[in-house]
Amino acid sequence: MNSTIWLGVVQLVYFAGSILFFLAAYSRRGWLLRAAAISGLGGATVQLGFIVHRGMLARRLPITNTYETLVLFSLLLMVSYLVAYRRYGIPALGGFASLVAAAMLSACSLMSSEIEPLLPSLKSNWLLFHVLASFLGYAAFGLAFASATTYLILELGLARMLGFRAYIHPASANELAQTPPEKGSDNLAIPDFLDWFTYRAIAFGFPLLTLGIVTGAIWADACWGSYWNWDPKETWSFITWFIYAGCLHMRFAGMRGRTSAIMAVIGFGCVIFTYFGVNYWLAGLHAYA
Amino acid sequence: MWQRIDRKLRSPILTVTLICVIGLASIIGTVPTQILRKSENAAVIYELLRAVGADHLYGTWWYLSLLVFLAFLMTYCSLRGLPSIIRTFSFIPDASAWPNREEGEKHSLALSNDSESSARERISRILKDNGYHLRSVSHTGEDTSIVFEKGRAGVLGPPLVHFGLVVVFIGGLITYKFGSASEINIGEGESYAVPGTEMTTRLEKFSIIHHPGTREPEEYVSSLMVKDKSGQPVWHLLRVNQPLNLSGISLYQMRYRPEVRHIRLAAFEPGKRSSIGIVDLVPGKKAELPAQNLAVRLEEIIPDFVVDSKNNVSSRSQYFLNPAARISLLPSFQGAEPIWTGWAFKGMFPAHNSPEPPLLFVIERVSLKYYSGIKIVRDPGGPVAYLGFAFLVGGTFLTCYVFRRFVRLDFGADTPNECGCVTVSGYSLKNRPDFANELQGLMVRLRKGQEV
Repeated sequence: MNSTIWLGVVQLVYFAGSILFFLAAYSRRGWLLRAAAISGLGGATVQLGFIVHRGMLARRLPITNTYETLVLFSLLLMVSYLVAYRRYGIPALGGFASLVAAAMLSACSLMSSEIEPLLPSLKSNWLLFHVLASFLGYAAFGLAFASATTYLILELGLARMLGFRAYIHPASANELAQTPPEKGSDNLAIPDFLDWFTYRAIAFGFPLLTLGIVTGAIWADACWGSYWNWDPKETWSFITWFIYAGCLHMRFAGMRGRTSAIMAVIGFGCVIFTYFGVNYWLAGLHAYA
Repeated sequence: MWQRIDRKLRSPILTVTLICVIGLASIIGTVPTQILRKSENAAVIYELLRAVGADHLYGTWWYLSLLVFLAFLMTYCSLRGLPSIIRTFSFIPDASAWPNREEGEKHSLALSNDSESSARERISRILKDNGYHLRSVSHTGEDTSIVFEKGRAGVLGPPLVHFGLVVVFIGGLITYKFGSASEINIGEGESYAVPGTEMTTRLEKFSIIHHPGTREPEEYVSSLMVKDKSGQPVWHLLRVNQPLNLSGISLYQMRYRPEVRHIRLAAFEPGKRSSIGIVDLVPGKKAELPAQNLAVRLEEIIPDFVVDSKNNVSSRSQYFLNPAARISLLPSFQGAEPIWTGWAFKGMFPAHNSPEPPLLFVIERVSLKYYSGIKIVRDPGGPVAYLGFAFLVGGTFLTCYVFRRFVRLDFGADTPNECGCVTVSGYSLKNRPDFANELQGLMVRLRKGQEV
């Protein structure tokens, strides 16, 4: 059986998980939430197996091209959500996280899954640290995006327009998101909690992005003789870093709520552009990434 | 006046605005210049952006001014925050550590029936086991307040980040001012005098190691002989990702380029199997076939020949896997007009339609000379930038992962239960929901500790 079929299976599981998470958030049924969490966990386990298997076949770290990093990105997004779920609950975020993870795996199906030999420039010990740190950061920003989007949906009243009444009332929303005072928040209403969670996810991802950029710079110095080349990928990671630094400063300045949620959405837009857009639209040194 | 300027400079709004402006300017430097350059419809916008230097934005005075202003702002904020950090780390009990006595989440903890001092000792031990350090003990009348602290190092985070970024900028500036970078293409057997040094380097051999069973290179290596001023030769291998550091300069293996030195062709008469002559050709030059009173000229060589359904010839790759040579047959060595032009391949005759060529050619050997692309860098700002990187990474982790929080124990007459209770309050400047969870866990442990 072709191992890429397993990715198709995981994609379906994540998609089903997304529906289950949203239904759980809406109906507040415990068994739906458990089923959604199990689907996420099961999908992530199979995906991890896929990555390990691919690594064994390729005899190298399977994180060297867009296809492989996309698989890694979706796995880390799902794992980050499951960790956040265990700590804070919030099924609605799981809906978004699973949907984005499924969309990433769909994008994988449009790319060649062939195992390519490693380019000489990628033969470096920095590869693991650079890619893993960057994508762990991206996964945290993905969660911040999910949280900010949920916040905006709540705040703009779109939920009411769509008929998701349970989202509107902070009291029921609190119950819905499973963020009672004894778990995850100091009596914050759900929009406040989402606002805080967006900040927390960004604060978690920011040092990892910094580490990713710095290890990339050290690697670039060893490979290209300069730690910063103003290559589009580097420039866009610099822009992304600045956007998220702005988000953290905004919190410090007391700018919360809608502005910070919009900033988190813009930030994730930058992440996606740094990851995809630069590869497809802009020429640069990171042609393989 | 000074206070107003100070307030403005330390305003996070100014920082956020500056960050957004630098972000937007950086976007202009990548997307429009690369995308609009290709679009004919957006030529006017592209020219407009070019006028403000968007095509070389990262070297323009205004972009660099923005970075310099950011560096100034970060330095200012770091220095301005220094006294407060020194206070935080001093051994003098800090009254401001707990800004408001009423602030923070409060819990009541029933004490077991032993003395206050042994209860205090037990609680202190549990708090210390959980990473809390004793910060201050104060007495007001009959009341005793003990403050424990955790994550004090977190306050070092923001200044470290700011300082780190400034140090990276300084490192970049030193390299920009005193560093140099150049790239050379050195052929096998050629020597090169490294500028600014008394060294000469000679490329002895260039090797490509392929991934087993593929045409992709796994590694390419330049075998270099380096002679310093003493004239003593030292041999080094230069590989991708493994720079060579030689007395203040670094050599980097960047790229390579094969060039055809000469090509050996065997000539055959159509329909016959034995060769009538061998000819060595150099690109662009012609050579004689004396027996036939003809000359052959090498027009073009394709490393990995492929032809599509429309008869367009191209190279599948840059590797000489299926070499093909386009050659012209001339009536004499002086003749310019070819009597026939066609392809020659390695190890096989080409398939010909009419007219039949006067001679057929097969490539016997392609002799290549490799040129190694080597970057020579002098980077005096590198170590400074690396120091900045360390500050930057350490600073962001401290800022975002370590947060300063306090636990205060109030023993005394004003506690809810005068004879057997202590009030435990928790206070954190940031990350309050996580701290609320931590405090609850801590209370469970403290209560268990009292039951023992």
